[in-house]
Amino acid sequence: MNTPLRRITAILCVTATLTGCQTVNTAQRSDPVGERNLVDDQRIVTDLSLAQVAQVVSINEARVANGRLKVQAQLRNKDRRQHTIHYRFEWLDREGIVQNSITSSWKSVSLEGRQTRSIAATATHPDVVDFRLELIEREPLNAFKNR
Amino acid sequence: MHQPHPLALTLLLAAATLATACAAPNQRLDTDTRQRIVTTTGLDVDDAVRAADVMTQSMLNSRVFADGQPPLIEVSTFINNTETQIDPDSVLKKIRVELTNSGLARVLTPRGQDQIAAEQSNPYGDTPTMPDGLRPDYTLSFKILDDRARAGRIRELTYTFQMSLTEANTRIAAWEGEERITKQGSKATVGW
Repeated sequence: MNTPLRRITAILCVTATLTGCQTVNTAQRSDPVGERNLVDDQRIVTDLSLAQVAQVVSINEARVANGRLKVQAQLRNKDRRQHTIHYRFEWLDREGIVQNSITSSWKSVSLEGRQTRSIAATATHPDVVDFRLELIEREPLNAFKNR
Repeated sequence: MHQPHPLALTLLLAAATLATACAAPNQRLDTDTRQRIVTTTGLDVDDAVRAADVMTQSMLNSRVFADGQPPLIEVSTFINNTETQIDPDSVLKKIRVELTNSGLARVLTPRGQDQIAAEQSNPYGDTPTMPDGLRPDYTLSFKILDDRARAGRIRELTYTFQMSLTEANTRIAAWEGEERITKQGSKATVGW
């Protein structure tokens, strides 16, 4: 390979690395003021590759003013590349019955490399006492996009 | 008459068999599935669900519903500033269903629809009138905007949903929410 071609290839590789693997630097209070009510969670992992990318760091809950359950989960991207994770919260009542709600629809969160982001949801039904968080990475069917 | 070559016939049959066998079968889907088609030409069901979801949750955290007494809400205005026709109920109905069925609010049926419903149930009776003293606590206004951008073959469409809950007596905004949904598609598949 001649020298100019080798140089161009090297520049392209560096550019691809820089644009594809940008990670996020974060700064926050060393001793956080807000006190979180952490939830002891149980994890069921069926997609190992997803678990290696998106890690649920913690889950905390609170009751908003009208008594509805609010849940927040912290998601960390363990990879250096950007990933889009799809998630939804399911709401359960005291008997463990799932409460159908529009707030249980699938949503997406974009995580930059090594970034930690919070996802939160509030139940609308007053009977809701529990929740289940589902995560998936697979892209939805996208017949008309980026073809 | 010219006879087709047996090999050509065989290939033709094989191609036809493959084409029919590989075609995607028609199927019913769970409406909540993520395997739905993402359209880039307009507002689709998933956009409406997401907008309604985010708006409802944002509303829930406002002081409007803090005291536990379900307020009476009336939908006042809908402004569609997009290039396409959008039924306001594609988003609003979902919010109304969630607020009403969860007991968070009482929502007045839009003017006109209540009369139609009354006439259908009792075609020869009197049409109902709003009882004296029944006035909404809040009015809900809703606006949709769109923004279109292009970069080469890629087209981008952003819908912005804006909602306001306003105290009916004072016209002071009690809650305001905005949600944006952005979709991208290639030139060949986007209708503008």
